[in-house]
Amino acid sequence: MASAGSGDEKAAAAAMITLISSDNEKFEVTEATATLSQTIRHMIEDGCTDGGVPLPNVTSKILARVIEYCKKHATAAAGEEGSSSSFSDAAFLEVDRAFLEELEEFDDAFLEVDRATLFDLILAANYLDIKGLLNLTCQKVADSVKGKTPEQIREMYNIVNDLTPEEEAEIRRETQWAFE
Amino acid sequence: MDQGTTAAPYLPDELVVEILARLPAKLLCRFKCISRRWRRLISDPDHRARLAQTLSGFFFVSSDPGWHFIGLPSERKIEMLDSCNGLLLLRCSDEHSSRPSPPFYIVCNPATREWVALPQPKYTNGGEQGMRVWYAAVGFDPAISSHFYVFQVVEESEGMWCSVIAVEVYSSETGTWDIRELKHDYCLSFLGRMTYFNGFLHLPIGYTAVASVHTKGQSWRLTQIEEEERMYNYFVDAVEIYSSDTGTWARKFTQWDWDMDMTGHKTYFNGFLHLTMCNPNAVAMVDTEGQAWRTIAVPSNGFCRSSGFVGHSQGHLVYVDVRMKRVPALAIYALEDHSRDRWTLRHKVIMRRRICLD
Repeated sequence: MASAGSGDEKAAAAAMITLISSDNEKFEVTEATATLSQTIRHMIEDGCTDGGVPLPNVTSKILARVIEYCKKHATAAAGEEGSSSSFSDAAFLEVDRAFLEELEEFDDAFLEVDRATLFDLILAANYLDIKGLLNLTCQKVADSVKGKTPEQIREMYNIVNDLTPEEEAEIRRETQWAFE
Repeated sequence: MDQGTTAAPYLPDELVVEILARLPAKLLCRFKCISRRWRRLISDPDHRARLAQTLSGFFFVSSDPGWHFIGLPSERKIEMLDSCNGLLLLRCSDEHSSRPSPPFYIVCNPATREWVALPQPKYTNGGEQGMRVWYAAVGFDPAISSHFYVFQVVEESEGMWCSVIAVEVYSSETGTWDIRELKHDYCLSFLGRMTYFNGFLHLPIGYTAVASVHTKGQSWRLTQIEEEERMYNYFVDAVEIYSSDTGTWARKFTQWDWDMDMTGHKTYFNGFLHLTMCNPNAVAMVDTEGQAWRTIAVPSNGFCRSSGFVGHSQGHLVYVDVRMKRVPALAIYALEDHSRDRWTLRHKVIMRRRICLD
């Protein structure tokens, strides 16, 4: 865990940012963690983060999860930078590989949430512009609908079928090959 | 996602599209009947470029593919001429019949098993003396339009020489053929390979030029390659890039790490032209500006490292490694992480019959 350790040390020396959730809870995070969000990165660049960054679209429950993700992945990013110079070093690659596996395990565990939370995470990732998190959460939803019938998806996501029976029959006729 | 108690109703269109963009074409078609909103989002032309339009896959040219699987008449001789974004161009002839009619073109979509026979163009084989029509290509880009084009190269033979005199263009929009004559003082010999890209059909002429014709409009563009550049260079020295934005060609000398030989396969994906190379075996990339040059080594555990080809599928660059010895086999790799140049083995396919690849 050499790369993770060096990441933490770097983080400790960095400036702190205060994030304020919609229900007014304050979260202290390092700049390295916060700037995984492009939205916050731009705010920092514009120098408008004094007194905290209000995030009126994100609840404290979701913000806590987002910060958990950013902390882990900010460490990963720091680890990558640190090891890229010794690319040929087999020991470093071994550490890299182990760390990537750990990161994948973290992501898998992170996605073990109910559907409502998953959708809130997608909204937060989009609003905060965190590409990795948006990709991860959208992929999770996409994977969850694979192998499902249209009826099962309507049930999973409480979608009301507002197509008339004629319209639905026509779509099914046109796309019959996709149901085989 | 229209009503209900979960958070689902809150996802705006752009985020639903973000999820749909991660689904294969077959599922998108199936999910059109979930609700009006899903139907609208999946069918919206604005989202076409982001959503999967064609099934992931590629076509083999086999010695006897047996076309009955798409419902084509089996008593006829059918050759596959070209494929583009999921459509196949076939030539159908009834040579066994006592009074054979001229061969005709068929465009088919193997996924939907739909096919259309095209009307006869002006020139057909065996029609006019001294004319031949051997080569044809199909152009189809579902992200731009649901219409397809078929191009037929018309050549005139004069003794040993054969010169391109025209290209006939069929448009599925108008349902008619249109002829684009190419007038030139000297022989324009066609090498037999062509590519459809961004509305233009590009044909290499001799070793000296590239002729380009647009699906709409009569004019040809003939781009000469300079004398010292031709013939003698066995490694790729420069790439000329035409932009329909500026209407000009730009020659860019390669800035790859090595001098490489092309093995002939290419694909345009994510703003980069990807070319297969040997010595060393790699996929070389160049962007449309000729500014960014990259190489990626082909998967190191492959069969025969110089015979693979590149394509793209589902938003990933795909490398197909081919083994032709003993039992023919294919290994299909996807480049899932562009920043790390890491190939992931997706499928290994053992072919039961001998195949030949184009």
